[in-house]
Amino acid sequence: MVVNTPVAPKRRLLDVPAPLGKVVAEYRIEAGTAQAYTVTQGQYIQIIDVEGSQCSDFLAFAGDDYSQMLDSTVTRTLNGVANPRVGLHGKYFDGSMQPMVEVIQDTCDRHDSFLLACTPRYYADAGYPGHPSCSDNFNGAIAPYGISPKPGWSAINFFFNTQIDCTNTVASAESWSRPGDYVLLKAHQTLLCASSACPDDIDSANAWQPTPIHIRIYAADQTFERAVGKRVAADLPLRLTQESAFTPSIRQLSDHLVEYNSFWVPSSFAYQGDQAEYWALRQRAALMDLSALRKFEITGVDAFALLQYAFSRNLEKVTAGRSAYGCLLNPHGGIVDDGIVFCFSPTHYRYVGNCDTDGDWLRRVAQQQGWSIEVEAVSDRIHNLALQGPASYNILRSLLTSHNDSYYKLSDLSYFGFKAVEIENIPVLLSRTGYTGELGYELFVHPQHGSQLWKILIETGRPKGLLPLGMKALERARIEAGLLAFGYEFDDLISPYQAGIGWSVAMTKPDFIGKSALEAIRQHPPKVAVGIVLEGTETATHGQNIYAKGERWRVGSITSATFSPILNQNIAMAQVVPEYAAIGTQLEVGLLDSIKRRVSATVGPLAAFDPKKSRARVEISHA
Amino acid sequence: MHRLADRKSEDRRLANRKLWDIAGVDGLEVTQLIFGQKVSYLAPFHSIEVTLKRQNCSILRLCEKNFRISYSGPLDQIVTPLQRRAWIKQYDWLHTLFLPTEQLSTLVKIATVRPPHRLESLPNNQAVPACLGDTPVLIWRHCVAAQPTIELHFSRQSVDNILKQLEHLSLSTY
Repeated sequence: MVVNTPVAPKRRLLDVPAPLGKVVAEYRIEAGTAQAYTVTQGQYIQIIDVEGSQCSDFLAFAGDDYSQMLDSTVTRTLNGVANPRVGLHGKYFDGSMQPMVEVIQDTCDRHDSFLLACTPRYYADAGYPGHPSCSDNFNGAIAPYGISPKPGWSAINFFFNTQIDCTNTVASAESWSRPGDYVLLKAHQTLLCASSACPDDIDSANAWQPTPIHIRIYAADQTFERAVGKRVAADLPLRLTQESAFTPSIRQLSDHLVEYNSFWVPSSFAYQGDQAEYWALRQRAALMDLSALRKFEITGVDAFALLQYAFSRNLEKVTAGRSAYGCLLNPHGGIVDDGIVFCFSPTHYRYVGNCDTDGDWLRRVAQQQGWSIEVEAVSDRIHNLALQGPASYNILRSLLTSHNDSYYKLSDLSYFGFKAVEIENIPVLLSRTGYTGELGYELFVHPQHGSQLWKILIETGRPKGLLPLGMKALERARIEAGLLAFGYEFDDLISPYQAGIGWSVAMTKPDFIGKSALEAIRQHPPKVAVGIVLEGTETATHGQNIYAKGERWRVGSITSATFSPILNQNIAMAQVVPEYAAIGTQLEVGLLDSIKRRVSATVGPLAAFDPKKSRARVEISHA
Repeated sequence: MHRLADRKSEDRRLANRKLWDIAGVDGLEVTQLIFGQKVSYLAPFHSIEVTLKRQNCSILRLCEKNFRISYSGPLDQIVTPLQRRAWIKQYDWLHTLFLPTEQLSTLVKIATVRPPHRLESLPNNQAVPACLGDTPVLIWRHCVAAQPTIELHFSRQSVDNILKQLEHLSLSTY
């Protein structure tokens, strides 16, 4: 029987991270055991994987007689997700649909709640009758509280790596968690909890070697930032979700923030909804936080040479005050990342892309080529807003002064141009760029001025119908405009010719990364990007198959899809074999199981709305 | 105090209103065909006021293809002939109560609302799923024939429960 005794608080624990706050109790759960403990409403529970790759199952009971317990099916149903995640769908519920615990922080982001805590039957069926199990360990740990034993407990199995594979099997593999990974839960009720250090050593779940788990209980009178930990490279540290300089202002207007590229961004805004935000963008103006973009300063005598080699565009044409959209390439012609290069001088550029690894990639390329450059990640001191829409010019123009305090004529800023300006004494780098297909501007600013800039733009824009824009509305707009998204239209195995940005590859450059591979690919890419317009009222989704009309075999797949309010049609971006990519080609999109329903579709330009980009490129007359 | 049995002119106006639910694969298309493209501009839980066959009509969008229409005429006779993949129903278990908009602030005190919805300062033409005590309701602020109102939707089984809670707060209904 396990004795429920917390570790003496003053004992130094060198094998776990430092506490996150005020600790009221700690428990070390030795490998292969389980322990029960109580928490009061509002306290926090941190479950730490001490050595990594160790599953820890979790039970919670509430009520005077512990009659309410965690219910995974209720949890999945109420949240609409497979496993709760920090944010709007972060709570675990009991059978009466009351929240029991809520995930506040999670550095692993890979858990299971489909399976029972491991059972004696599992081990017996595998040829290990009598092997210790979490369910038996739980029975022992909670028996003193009068809870009847079960042959198998429905638990949250933290750090247990499972998924439903293509054969409908619940497959498990080694845990993704590293030493020190943890989940931090907030107790929404006073609870009896039990945690295990799973004893499974007969498969890979705990990397074949059970190890301890450490529990910390934090006092209720403190708050912790909500965050999900993401790892993007072996040589980069874990990154926790952060707020931008604009997030506090955004939180006043929305309770629906989601994690995007390690930033909290609004999905949509209260009292508006994505439709209102979308129409504001298309008819008037919209303001959104794009601080999740990553910014890198590239300086040095060889800055031009580096980017000319690593970036797809010909930067000879991109002079000071100009920028260009393109992509970083790898040797096999795949897209490392898409982004914009801003030219300050031949020895000073800024790259704005999506990935934390971009800077390291550029450094490595420079080192391989023997070039003298510095690459500095500057995202922490540059946050950015996008002000987009037909009225964006009128909203901005009265606000701008240039550095010498003279009035800056915004109409002088051409498409993809940029300039250092001031807005009510706030230094801003203003570019005429965007991700919406509309006339628009991006404003790069130091975070210390973020909330002030947001307020100025909102208040100046409100009389002109400006609304803040969330990700749902942005997604609709960018698909209409045929703009690419990482992981949907491209990744490191997809060339620019397949992704639809072959025009951004300057083949006339004497040499650049991936040139020889791209020369071959360009002749006949395996697929090319097209836009398609679907008949009927059903919206396609990413990954759905595209067929030649009347045939069984596929010719491509959907990469992004939406209903276009302005076109009043269902549209999609897709990648199809070149033989079926001509404008006007009739195709079929397979919905459901691709057999029960096929929807006719017609190939069109990648950008279904304003394919010539006339709105974004509009010449603004001097006023 | 409630005055459900005390029909004044606005009571008659409101009492004649029926709730029609439309949903299905073609739910949006059907609603657009009848009311125009403007319904596609509505976000979920947003509504508009329109006129249909010279009668006022309130359209509340509940999801991409789901609409609830408050209308006193036989809307099914308009929808059914369209022969689209969408149904139209009057839920016999769904009950409606109307409150004056001034009582929204009191309602805010007793209603519980889950994020991302917000009830406080609920603008016109918006609805919020909420609970009064343990009873789920939909609280809809909109105009009926240009008169502002708060419309509550809930199960018929909960009528007594809801009325008791409103009486307790001295809220009056139409």
